[in-house]
Amino acid sequence: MPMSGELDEGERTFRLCCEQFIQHSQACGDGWMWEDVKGSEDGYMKKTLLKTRSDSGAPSKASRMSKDDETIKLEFEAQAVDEEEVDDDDIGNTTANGPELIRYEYHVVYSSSYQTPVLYFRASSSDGRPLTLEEMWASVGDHYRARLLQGPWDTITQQEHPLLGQPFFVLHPCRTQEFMSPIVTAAKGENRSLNYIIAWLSIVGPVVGLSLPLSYASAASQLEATPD
Amino acid sequence: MGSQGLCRSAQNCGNGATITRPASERITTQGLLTAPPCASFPAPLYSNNNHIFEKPEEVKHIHSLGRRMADDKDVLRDVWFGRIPTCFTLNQDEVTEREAEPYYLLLPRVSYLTLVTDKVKKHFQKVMKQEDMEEMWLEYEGTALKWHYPIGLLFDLHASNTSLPWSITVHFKNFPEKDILHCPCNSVIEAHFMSSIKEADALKHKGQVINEMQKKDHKQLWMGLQNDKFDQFWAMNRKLMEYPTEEGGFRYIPFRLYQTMSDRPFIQKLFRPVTTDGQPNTLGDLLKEVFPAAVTPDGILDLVFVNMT
Repeated sequence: MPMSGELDEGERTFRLCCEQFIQHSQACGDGWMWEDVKGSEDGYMKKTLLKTRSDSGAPSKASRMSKDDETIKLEFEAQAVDEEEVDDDDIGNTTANGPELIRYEYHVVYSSSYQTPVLYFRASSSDGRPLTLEEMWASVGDHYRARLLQGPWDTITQQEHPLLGQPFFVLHPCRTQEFMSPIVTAAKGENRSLNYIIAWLSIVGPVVGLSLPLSYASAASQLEATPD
Repeated sequence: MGSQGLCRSAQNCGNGATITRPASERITTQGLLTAPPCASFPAPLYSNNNHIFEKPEEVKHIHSLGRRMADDKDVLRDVWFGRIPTCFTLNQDEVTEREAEPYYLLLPRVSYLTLVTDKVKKHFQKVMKQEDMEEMWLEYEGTALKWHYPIGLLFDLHASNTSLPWSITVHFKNFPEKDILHCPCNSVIEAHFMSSIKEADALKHKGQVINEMQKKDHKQLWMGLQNDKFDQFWAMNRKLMEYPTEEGGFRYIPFRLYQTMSDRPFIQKLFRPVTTDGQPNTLGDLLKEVFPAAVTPDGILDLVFVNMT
């Protein structure tokens, strides 16, 4: 009999960390949710974000400065965008007089082969056309690009999403251990609890334009320790 | 249940396509050795009766992978040289300067569409203007073909019940962005291939074998595939196929299960080659564990079993 208890431990830890992560996300309105894959026990964490296209790569002026009702409403709507609810026509109408909206999707999927989480992402313009990697970089910003070049990851490539079968961009997971083990070791050494997902996403997320509010850090220290 | 499965697989073993296998058949270490030589390769799980271990004790007597693999060389060669006769027809909506004749090609099962269809592109280029040609993509009966899947897998999934040649439609416009990956150059194919090899080794040997190989060895694997050089490929691949029985063999078996009617691209899970008692696991055990719905009282449903090796 296969030892399913032992085999699934990495995945069980992953799910526990995601659960805690999403709890905090809901508390601070950061927009992450869990998505189940129909007809199976598998699932993944997902976040959808609407941003305006900006050459400087910084979050659009509209979302940062002029917090008028329209913009605030947009941000709140962006927090948890449901696939079926978003009507591309609506997006077009909303921005008829303003800059184009780009829709970003981030998925955190567990890799049993590497026993780590993997970040999948894609973006599309308001007419539904997927962005190329170059276009994504242009909208994310130079300082993030520099970070990518420094990081211990092989590259970003286009891959098929293992659960959905559609093209996504991926930060390759085979060297995740390299940058995560010092963090895991340090936490153990200091007898500090660690939510692997929070730690990992705080490192890889910014590289692809995804930021974690600082409140996750304080939430992490209050969370239960991950099982050994 | 058993005989029909065996007949089909025996019939197809030269092409490396196995559709149904009797659940009782063992995935022995031998079965793994004769499994696809390269990543995501249709697996015959060929069971030459000489090599099925009748008793678990025999497993302990296998010292050297090299010895066993030499016995299997014929099977490895048959799998490697499997071909699918294919007819490429230009999509009728493409803009041409004159009528385009179909183009015929024997496709290697173990390779990738974008790696072997340059000739197809050049053939249709003769009747089209460059400005009417964007990235080429291929379609079968309304389904865009995923070039990053091995050709044999695509055929088994979409067209194995049809008569040969396999009829594929060629497109140069309206690339289906949401369905298939882009393939701007051969290095993208190489990256995919190597990524698959690495993932399989992560499962088999915690990545130790692939990481200890030098860059030139990785290159040799790729060049062997690209240039259809069996010996060049296997000189390197044999290292990745090492099954140290004294250490329990492969840590996990790299495999993916594909189905035609499914939202999910494939099923892939951790699965050990032996049980806690040291008994070899069989294909039936694997299916029961990862895809129990596939095992019915009448036999195994039609699946395409692909071993990532």
